[in-house]
Amino acid sequence: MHPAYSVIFFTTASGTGYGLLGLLGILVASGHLPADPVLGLVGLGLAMALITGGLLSSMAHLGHPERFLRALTQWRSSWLSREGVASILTYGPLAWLGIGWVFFADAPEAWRLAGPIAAVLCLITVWCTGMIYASLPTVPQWHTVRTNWAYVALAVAGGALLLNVLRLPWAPFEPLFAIMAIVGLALGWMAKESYWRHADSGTGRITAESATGLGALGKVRLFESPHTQSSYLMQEMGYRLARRHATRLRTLVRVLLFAVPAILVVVAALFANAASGAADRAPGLDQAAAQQRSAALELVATAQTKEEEDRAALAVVMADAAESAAAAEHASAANLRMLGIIAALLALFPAGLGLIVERWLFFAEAKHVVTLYYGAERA
Amino acid sequence: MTSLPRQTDGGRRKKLGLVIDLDICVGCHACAVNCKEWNDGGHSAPLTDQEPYGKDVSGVWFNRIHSYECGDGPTSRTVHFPKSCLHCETPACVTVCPTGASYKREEDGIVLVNADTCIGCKLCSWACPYGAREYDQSDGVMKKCTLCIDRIYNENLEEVDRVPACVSTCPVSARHFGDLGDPDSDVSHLVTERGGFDLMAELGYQPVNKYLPPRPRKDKSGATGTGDALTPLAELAAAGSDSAAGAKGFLGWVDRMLSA
Repeated sequence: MHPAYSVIFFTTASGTGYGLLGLLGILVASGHLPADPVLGLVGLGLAMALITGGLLSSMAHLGHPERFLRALTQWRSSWLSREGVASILTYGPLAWLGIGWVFFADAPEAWRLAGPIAAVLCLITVWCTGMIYASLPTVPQWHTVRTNWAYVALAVAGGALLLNVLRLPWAPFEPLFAIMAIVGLALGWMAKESYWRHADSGTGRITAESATGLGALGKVRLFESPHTQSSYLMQEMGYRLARRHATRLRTLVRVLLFAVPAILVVVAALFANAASGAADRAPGLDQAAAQQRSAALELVATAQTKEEEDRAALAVVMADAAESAAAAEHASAANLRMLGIIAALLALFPAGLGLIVERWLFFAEAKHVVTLYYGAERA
Repeated sequence: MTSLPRQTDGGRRKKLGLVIDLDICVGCHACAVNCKEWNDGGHSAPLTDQEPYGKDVSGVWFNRIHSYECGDGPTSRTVHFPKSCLHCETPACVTVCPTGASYKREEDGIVLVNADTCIGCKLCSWACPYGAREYDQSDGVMKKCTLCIDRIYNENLEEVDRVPACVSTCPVSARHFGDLGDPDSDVSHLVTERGGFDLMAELGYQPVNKYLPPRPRKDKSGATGTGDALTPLAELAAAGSDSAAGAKGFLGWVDRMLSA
């Protein structure tokens, strides 16, 4: 299938936005995130930007974007319509959560309930996105519930990776967030491997013989194409991708989207852990240094003999050393913390690139059964 | 409304459609050309083209004729294969439509698109296994075979012309139009007698249009309706090297010279 950039951007950006919104909702309701207005503004603002940007981008691929409101009417039969309705309903709890978190941070009981509601609607929306593809028997690779699981798991993974960065100013080290990001990536990886196994083996049931109904005459081969030039069908459904590229691109997805971000999340957690250890030790050292300094000053003030003066000078040197040790611990805590932040931030770039490659491949690898009329043997 | 018309139990529903005889079609593309001509000015008009006079010509056609080679060796044969919308009984192109622009008519089963409400999301073309949906890049909407709804109900036309353009133009009468919901209609009889079949039946779209398979091959002279007198000649030809024995005159001389 033709990979349209607008649809790739829509499914990746909105998916990540819904993943982030759902996790923010659950974690603030369960008390794992502070009711801080800045976190609410930045976190929910980013989720809303991703969701809205994606939805607007999806309209770019419509022939008549100005008629998009009509797409909300057929929720009884159309998964695309259901997705549209669910995506718009999600703005309700998003706004409730946003207003509450930013303006009424001191009265969280009034808006915390919006969190779980937003999370459920996010899950429904992403599930509907998956269903648009999974419901099509005409594209056998997509026609599986593994498609839905991959969409949901990658939304969670993307959201968790963003959250792992966003919470840093509030909680320098909190293992829960690193664990969530790792679990999200692991789930995404498993869902994707399972999808690829299905895409490789579970198809090929529909043949050129059954498409034409001419199997009784023997093997069916295209003798003459119905047209000498390209057509909408061939451009949209007959996307060609060399097999060896697909294999390489899958490897690229495994490395960029799953392995490298997972390693960077672990590295970030280790740095953050070391930083918080150093930060814990620093006050003790400060105190010891202060005591040594005052003792040294006392010795300096009361020194009478040469021997006492020497002892006082030594105490001053030791107080200086204790102070510089405390300062070094402070600096090391700051440095480790910065390295943790950099590692957590760096994880976003390969993941974003990998996600785009993954989504491009999802479209490009899928084969529509109409290709059977144009010379394909199986689909 | 993109939900399908409710199935009425007992009461027979009208199902207008085509029966295409793959034994007869000669692959002349006249049906496709007349379809383009008629529909360019009809219900879904215009059927726009991109770069019609340029290098990469492409455009909207509702009807296309593929040709297939079936089988191997001396028994292989070429089958010309016209394909347009099959007006399925359970068309996913209708149910996936998010706007209600795509619909199946309750009164005769024709599947149509309302170009005024279509948003051009293309999902219906993904849902159709037969490639019957045609996206009009100039108009930004989906178009498709209307079974020439503006011909078959057109009282300004002679009754004999109230058939789809492809049917009216077929020079060998490979295409038949009628009510496949009526078991006594001519088209239904054709389907029963000739073993009409569905395309990609395993997907369950239940196309209304049926295809008639090519008739069994006629290998013997008698089977083709020619006289039995031709059979001895064929046997003589098959006899091979001895066939020139006893020849007289110039050919006899050539035969003797070559045999020596």
